[in-house]
Parts: sequence; structure tokens; C-alpha cells
Amino acid sequence: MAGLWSLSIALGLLLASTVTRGQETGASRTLSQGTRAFLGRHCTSCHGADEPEAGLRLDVVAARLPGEAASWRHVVERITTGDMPPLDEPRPGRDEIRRVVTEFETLFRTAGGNLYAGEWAFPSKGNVVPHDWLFTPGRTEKTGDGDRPASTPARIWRVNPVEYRSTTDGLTNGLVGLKFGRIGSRGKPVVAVPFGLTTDAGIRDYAFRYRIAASEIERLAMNARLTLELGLKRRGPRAAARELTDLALNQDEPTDEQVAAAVRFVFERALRRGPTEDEAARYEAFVRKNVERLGNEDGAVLGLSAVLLHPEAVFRLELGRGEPDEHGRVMLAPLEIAHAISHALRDAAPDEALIAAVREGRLETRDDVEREVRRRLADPEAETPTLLRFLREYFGYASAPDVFKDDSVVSAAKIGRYYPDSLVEDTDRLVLHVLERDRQVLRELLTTPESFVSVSSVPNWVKFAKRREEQARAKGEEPAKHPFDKKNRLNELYGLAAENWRVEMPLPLDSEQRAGVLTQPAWLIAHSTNTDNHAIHRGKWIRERLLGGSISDTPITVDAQLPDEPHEQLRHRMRVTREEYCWQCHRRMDPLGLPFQMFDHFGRHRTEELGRSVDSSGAVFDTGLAELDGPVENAVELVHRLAKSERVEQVFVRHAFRFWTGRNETPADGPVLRAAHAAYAGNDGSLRELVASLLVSDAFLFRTVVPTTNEEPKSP
Amino acid sequence: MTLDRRTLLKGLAGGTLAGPLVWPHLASASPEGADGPRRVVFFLQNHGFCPAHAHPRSIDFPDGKVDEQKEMRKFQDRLDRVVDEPLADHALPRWIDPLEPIKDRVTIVHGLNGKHVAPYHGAPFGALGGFKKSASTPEGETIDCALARRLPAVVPLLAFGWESLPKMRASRVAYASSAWGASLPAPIYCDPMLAFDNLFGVAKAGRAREEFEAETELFDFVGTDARALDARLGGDERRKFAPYVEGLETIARQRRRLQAMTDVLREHAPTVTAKFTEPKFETDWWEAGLDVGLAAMVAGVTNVLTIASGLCTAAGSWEGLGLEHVGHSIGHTNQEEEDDWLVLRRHNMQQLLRVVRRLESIPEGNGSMMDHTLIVYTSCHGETQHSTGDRWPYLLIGDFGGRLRSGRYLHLPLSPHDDSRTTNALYATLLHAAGDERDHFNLDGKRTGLDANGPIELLLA
Repeated sequence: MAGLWSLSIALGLLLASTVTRGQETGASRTLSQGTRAFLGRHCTSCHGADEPEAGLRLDVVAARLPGEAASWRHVVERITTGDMPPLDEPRPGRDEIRRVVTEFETLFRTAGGNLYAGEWAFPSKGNVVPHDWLFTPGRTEKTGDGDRPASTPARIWRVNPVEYRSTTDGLTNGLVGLKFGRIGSRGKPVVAVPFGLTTDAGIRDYAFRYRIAASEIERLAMNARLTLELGLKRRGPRAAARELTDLALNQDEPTDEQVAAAVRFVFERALRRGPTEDEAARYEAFVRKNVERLGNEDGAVLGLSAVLLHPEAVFRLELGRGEPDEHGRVMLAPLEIAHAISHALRDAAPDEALIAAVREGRLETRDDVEREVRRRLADPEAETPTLLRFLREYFGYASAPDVFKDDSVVSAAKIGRYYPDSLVEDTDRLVLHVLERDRQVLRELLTTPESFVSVSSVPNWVKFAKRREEQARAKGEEPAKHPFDKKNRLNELYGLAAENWRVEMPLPLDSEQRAGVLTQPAWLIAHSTNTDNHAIHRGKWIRERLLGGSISDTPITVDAQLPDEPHEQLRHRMRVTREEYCWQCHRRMDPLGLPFQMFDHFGRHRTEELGRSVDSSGAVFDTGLAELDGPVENAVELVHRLAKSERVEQVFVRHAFRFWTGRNETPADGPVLRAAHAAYAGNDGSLRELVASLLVSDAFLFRTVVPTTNEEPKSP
Repeated sequence: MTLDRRTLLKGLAGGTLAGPLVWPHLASASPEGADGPRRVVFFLQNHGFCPAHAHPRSIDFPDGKVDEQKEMRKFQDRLDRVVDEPLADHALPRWIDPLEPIKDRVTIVHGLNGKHVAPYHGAPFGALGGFKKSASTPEGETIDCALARRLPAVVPLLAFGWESLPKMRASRVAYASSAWGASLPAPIYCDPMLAFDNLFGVAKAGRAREEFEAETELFDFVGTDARALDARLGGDERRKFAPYVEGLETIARQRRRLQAMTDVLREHAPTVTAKFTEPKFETDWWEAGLDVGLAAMVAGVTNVLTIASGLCTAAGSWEGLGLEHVGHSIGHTNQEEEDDWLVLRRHNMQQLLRVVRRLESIPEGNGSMMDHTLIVYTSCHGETQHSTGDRWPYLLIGDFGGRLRSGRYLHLPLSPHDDSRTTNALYATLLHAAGDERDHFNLDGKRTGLDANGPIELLLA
């Protein structure tokens, strides 16, 4: 039909090839009159037939889905985030935008797809759902996906490297040292984890993201055998269990009971459940066959290693059980709940108490879940490493050691030896300190003038106190009161006079200069380059993680380099971002990042940059909130202002949701997010209450089988 | 690139395509010029490949003593046209002159743009993928894996990683250079003995063979559990789980195909010497790995071999070469002035020459195996340890069964220029030469518009 454009024809260069080859042939779905009118009002004056901007034409009457899914998501994202239309054009109303999005939710669903999948499944797209849709009661429920109660797609979730270790450790009483990452360090053979989490900034462990293929399986098979072999070699009180040694180290032909006991033992340690009747018969026969073939030890190792390759040893199941409710949702099965809670709180397979709860029918209902979750969160002895991991991923300070600093740069900065790991440890300890009190966690983390300083030097400082005193006395000198000298000058990064250091931490820093994690050297370095501050990344971080905004990816055709002018201040070098094309996005980052110019790129406070007075002014704007918008003098003023904001708190809750559910939020998750925020705010800013709320939510406990989208998640 | 069950079956398992038993190693291989056997070797050296190392001084260089690196940069910056000259007219620079005797097989390619890979301090997966590097999670398919799909064999891709002995011992298998798709890294052997056992172990008799067979059955056995879970999954989860189900089947199938090749494997198995079992230096294991790789190629076990020297990190070890610099520090030296670089680069070239000579010695069709082989040499770091990747040099050795020009010096103008091309375009060219005439290699999504579609025509014969 003449004039009937489908997007794949019309989009031209920019978007056509974002459509996966072979998928161009989705059904053509006519856009409603309202959406076409919206595009006509706000888009087609630039993206029409006549020399369309960026080769993109939106004078279309139909969308071809799912083939053009990526392209349409791109268009919808630009609208929801306010990137488009341009600032000087009339802005569409929020309800108008909501109607367009709702139509696309329906179009995608009708086409067997999901608007919130594909590129939008990635953490970097977490903020595409506008904040007020989620946090304004009644708004999301009106139409579209907000109609339905929250649930998460039924899924499997590959265990993360730490959980994988708990599986093998459980089998060998923690005797096998695991080496992380892809390359082992010096030493004996390691049970290397053949997979990791992405190193991308942000929340890392999303359920959709990770798979296991042949290459990893080969390594897992090696690990399984190595785990059992190394475990069997152990002697003494921490030796491998009798169930294993009776079978493997027995000189005689093993009895049926010995084989059965070994199989059950490995199942219970690795999968946290016994074998089913059918599994018991199969695995016992397999072990026996291999014992007969290769002898007791080698046969047992090979046969039992099958359990460590069982899919449930490397994937957590979240499929649910029972009859679906009227919305097609089922609750997680008790063993699935045990794994989910344990993953959420401990990064480990379930402990014996949780497994006992499963066995005894005490993990069946939401109340059961709440009881177990609260018990763990309240127990001062229970480790909850995920709270720290969440805050590490949210703030991103732990990547400081990954930022390369050339030796010559370190030397020129006159900071002595450079210890980025130690700086991360300081911030970790600050986070743990705030978590311990668990009051106004975010506000504290954003504003506290306290800090841990060179906490890594404390153990030796204490251990050698006596020797130090003796040595000083022998020389007739006063014993040193701090560990700092010409080489160790970490205190200077915090602006702490060496004589004010003490082992009892945290220590007060100058509140005019420091306010929370964003002014800690670890965070500042993590958002720096080899030679300078990264004001753009810092601004992007604030826009996304505190204000809930969304910044489009840098067009890859843009040469995103600042001019190489080593004698110019960063603010001046950043003039290039104020060119019209760049400023569309940079206006929402740069003014938020430049206030941190009050620090150098090692985190030291300064008043001068390159011998001239430093300008640390900036601004908050385009938030839609009067109490936030306006100029700021420096980073300390900036973070104090932001820390008071309810919006900022809610954005923090959105990130917590992503961490603990392993996915991005959709409009249907609005009630869950509001409840979580209410739990946080109503309990004096308690992160534990926030987590408890999330872990009893529908999003955490209910699963829905969704149709195949025929669309591979592709990095945006 | 994504993987689904069908793709995996088609690509990894070889499907109904001719398997290794019926072609490359047999004298009845297809005649030259037809769609016959083809092989590719990738060699990545970390810490950069300085363009001056691959630039004959007789090409537009001033006379007398000059700072070659600086002159090369000037030459490249001002170049506004394509330089396409026969190498025969020029002497190779000292870093790569071990290739002088086979210069007619060599093509030097300069000027390719790989800035989008961000190779500063190494580009794991990105160097061969043409996408942004990642230490642990590749964004997509790398070129060696793409070619492995095109040139199927029992082991589609065989890769070796070279590092220090302690690191190789600790990580007998690593992940660094290659990937079958997004989040699907391909393993690389660091321990040559492990590679030997996995590939040639079946050729042994008695207990060793019994163990090999028992291990094969392990993957079958677990496959039953995987299929049971697969049947419970719906929607996208089934696709997410497919690589696991298919992976188990693929490994078992691969091992059975090796079992079926016992006689050929026995004939070509490398001799296990002290350099395998009692290495003194890391270079012993490097050589042993190359022995296994070449033997596997000659035996028809694989058609694609990747060597990642330095495992795409900014570290490394060269004790066996007697280098003064260790680990990271070599990357901070001047590649023109530092003698260590001369030793290291020439060692690389000698290894390439070794591959060439070995493959030349095996008759195939009207010529030798080398006549159907292509070697691609570059760095996983781009030009230097701290490079931007805007002028990424490559050496191509071999005409790939007559499909590529050889004996050329080709310098494309740097980006931006109408004639400039990306590293992705080179990889698309290799795919075209292998018969996979796709529009581009990984230039979709956010990389759309970085380069024109199509191969670099000047490289095709």
C-alpha cells in the first residue's frame, strides 16, 4: 500500500540494522490514531520524509513486531526519558506519553513479545520507566502492564561465582580453595570458576543475563572431579565425610548401602536436597558402573561428579508450583524459596536451618518467608554479605583499583605509595559501620563526615605496638602515633592530619570538605581517569543513581574525547560537551559532576587546579522538583541537598529492587516499590526493613510463565 | 550473534557437513581453487603491535636515522590515500624479518580503526570481536569462532593461552580471547598436557582409553537431567538453558568423533617430551601447546587455532626468552628502542614461521596444507599497551586457498576518511574469503554506522 510505511523501511541507516537479521518479517501492526497523531505533533517535523534527522523517519502508520522491537524501544525510550522532543520544542504531557507507552506494551504483547525485555532488560535501562509511574499511587494501575499484580517471569538463574563456591565448599568442608576470575594466580591447582559477573557498572547479577555452554561445562566437569579428588585427600578432623571415604577409599567392593549413602551425601551437599527415587536408582547405577570400570576411588570420583554437573548445581530454579491464580501466577516452591532467600541474603546455598524449614513444611507461605527473612536479618551473628555487595554495586566505589593510574602519574601526584585496594576497604568499612546502625542508611552514606582511614594498617599497627615502643625507647624517641610516613600518605587523601589518626574508627573529617561515600577517595578514583577527574561519569552517576534519570548511550560515531590540553583545567576542556549536539545529554550530567572538582583525581581536597583557583560550582536542574533544582557551590552542598530528597530515596529503592529481584522494574511493580519505600522510610531508613519488604513481595515470591519473545536480549 | 539450539547444532556439531574424517588430512582433498579445505590460525600478542614494526622503511620514510615510531605516526597521520604496494620491493623491518623468506605469502595491513574496542591495557574478547572489550563477559561472537562455524571440525576452535608457568598451572583452562556469542566465552588451554589428553588421549590404549570413554558417558548421563529440566521450562528460559543442554551433547559427540579417529590421531599425535611434563620455562609449555595445536590441525581435529600470548591482559612472562622486563613493565617501554621488543616480536615471527613450515610440509591437493591456510597476527592491545586502537596493524600470512591477495603492503587512510575501514571490516573480509558473505561483522546495534558494509575488496583475490 503506497504511503503505508513500516518502520523497517522508514528508519534508514540509524535503526534498520539494529533489527536482528531474519526478524524483519514480523507482522505489521497498525498504530492507533492517537499514537500517529502524537508522532505527527512531536516527531515528524524533524523525522519526516524530508531529510529526516539521523536518517530516522517516524511518519509511519505501522510497526512491524517483533522484528523492529529494538528500534521502537529506542524511540519510546527517547520519549519517556525526555530526550525527545528537543528542549526548544513543546513537551508532550505525561498522560500523553503514558498512552503511547501503553499502546506499545499492548502491541509487543500481541506480537508475543515484551516491551520490557530486549535492550530494556539490561541494568543500564532500569530507569526507562518514568519515576512517577511507579511512585504515584493509582497511576500505574490505570492501564497497560500496571493492570496486573506484580510477579516475575518463571525462570532459572545461574548461580554466581560465590554461590558456586558454597556448593563445592559444602562438599569438602571448605577445604578446597577457589580461585576466582579467569586466570589463576601462582600456586597449586585451583578450582577456577569458569564464569563471572559482568564488570559493567551497576547491578551485576541479573537473571536473564547468564548461561552455561559447552566451554564452561568442560571446566565445571574438571572442577567436579578436582573437588572430589582434593576432598578425598584430606585427613584429620576436617577430612572428607565418611560417606565419601567409605566408598572411595575402601579396598573392597562397595556395598549397595555405601554407594547409596555417597550419592545421597553429595546430593544433599551440592543440591541441598536428597535424590528422588528415580535419581537415586540412576546415580547409584552410574557410580557402581564406574567403580567397576575404574576402581573404587577413580570410579567414585567420576560417578559422583555427575551430581556436581546436575543443572540444579549451577542454576537456581524459580519455576513455582501449584495451580496458577487468576493472574496466571504461582508461588515459588519451598525449596526454591530457600534458595532464593539464601541467595538474597547470604550469596550461598541454603543453610541447614532453612533446609529443615523446607523439610518440615515451614516455608510454604508469605508469613513463613517473612519469619525466616526477619530472623536472619535480625540475627547479629548471621552474615548478610549481600547488603554490602548491593551498596558496592550501587555506588560503584569498589572498581577504584580497576582505574589505571600510571606510575609516573602517581609519582607526580606526590601521594607516596598508591593503595587503591586499601581505599576500597576503608569505604567498605564505612558502609558496614552505617549498616550496623541501620538508620537513615542512604542519608548517612551520602552525608556522613566520618571515615575509616587506612583501616588495613590497623592489625599490624596493633600487633607490633609493643615492639614499636621498645624500639623507640631504645632510641630515646617518642613512639610513633600513626602509621604514616613519606611512603604511606593515605591520610592525606582524606585530608586527615596524621596526628589525628587512631585505631578506633570512624574518624571525623572536615565536614566542609567531606560528605559520605561520594567524597571518599575510593568513589572519586572509581570515577576518574588515569590523569584526571571524570566529571561526566560522576554526573551521570548522580543523574541515574540518585535522580532516576536516564542518559542515552554515547553514539558510537561520536569521538567522545576531551581535547588533549594538559595545561588547561578540566572545566575548560569540557567546553566541547557544550556544543549543541552534545549538550542535549551533557546538560544533565556535567553540572552534577563538576562540583567534585573540589577534589583531585586521587580524592584529595584542593582549592587550586593547575596552579589556578578551582571552580567547583554546578547545578541541579531538570528534576521537576523545586526543592532540588538550583545552583550549588560545591559537591558537599550538592550531596547534602540530594540526601534530603524523597525522590532520591525512592531511586535508591528502585536499585535495591533490581538487586534483590535480579531484573528491572516494570509499571506492574509500582505497588511493590511503594511498599518497599514505605518500609524504609517508616523505619527510620532501615535497609534491612527495605530488604524484608522486597523479599516478601509478589515480585520476589510469585512467578508467571511468559511466552517466548523470540528476541535475544542484546546489550543496548 | 546469538546461540540457539539450531545454531549450536549447525555450527558446533557440524551437522551433516563433511567432518574431519573426510577432509583436510586426506590426499583426496579438494583441488586448489574449489571449495576445499581451509584453516585459520590467529596469533595475538599482548602489549601492542607497534605499527613501525610492520612498516618497511623504504615506503615513504626519510633517509638517515629517524625515530621510527614517531615517523610512522607522522606518515600515518598525513596519509590521505590508500597505499597498495608489492612487498617484494621492500625489505621487512627488523622486528618481523624472520618472515623475509616467506614474504610472498605475507600481507601487511595498516590503518584499521578499532577505537570502539577500547584496547587500552588489552581487549579481552574485543580484539577478535570488534566490540568493546570485557574482562569476563564477551558482548558477542569473535572472528575465530565465526570462522570455526564456517570451517567445522570435531573441535571447531582450539585455543591456547600463553602466560607464566605458575599462572598456566593454576588455570589450566582460561577464558580471554574468544567467544561463541554474547556471554559465551570459549575456553583456551593453558596446560598443553591437558589439551593433549583431551584431544589425543583416546589414541592411547588400555586404562587411558577406558577413562576417556567413562568421561564421555558422564556428559551423556548428565544430559538426561538437563533434558528433564528443559522439558519443565517455558518461554525465554528454554532458550537461556539451551546452551547447557546442547553443550553436554556437543561435548559427548565431540569425544565420540575423536574416538572414531583413533588411527589418525595416533599417527599425528605429538611426542610428549620433557617440555610437556617438566617445563623449565614458560616457553617450553608454549612450544608444547603449539605442537598439540599443529598436530590437531594436521590430523583434521580442528581448522581454527588461536594463540593468545599474554591472555589479553597487561601482564605476561618471558623468562624463557631472557627478557629484562617482566609482566606489565614491558608495555611501558619504547617498542622501537627496547631490545626486549625485538626479541619478543622476532620470537612471535619464528613461531609463525614454524607454523608455515609445518603446514608446507604436509601435501594437500596440488600443493600443501599451507596453501589453504591463513595466519592472522596482531595484538590484543592494538598498537601499544596504552593504545587507542585507531591504527591497528595486522599481518596476514597465506592466501587462504587463493581467496586473499598476498605479498602486499596495504595501508588504508586513518579514520575519518572515505576509504578508512574498521577491524570489523577485516574480519568481514576473512568471512567472505571463507564463503560467509555477510554484510558486516558485529557492526550492528550501537556500532551501526561505524563503517560501510562489505569486505575490504583490496584484500580479496
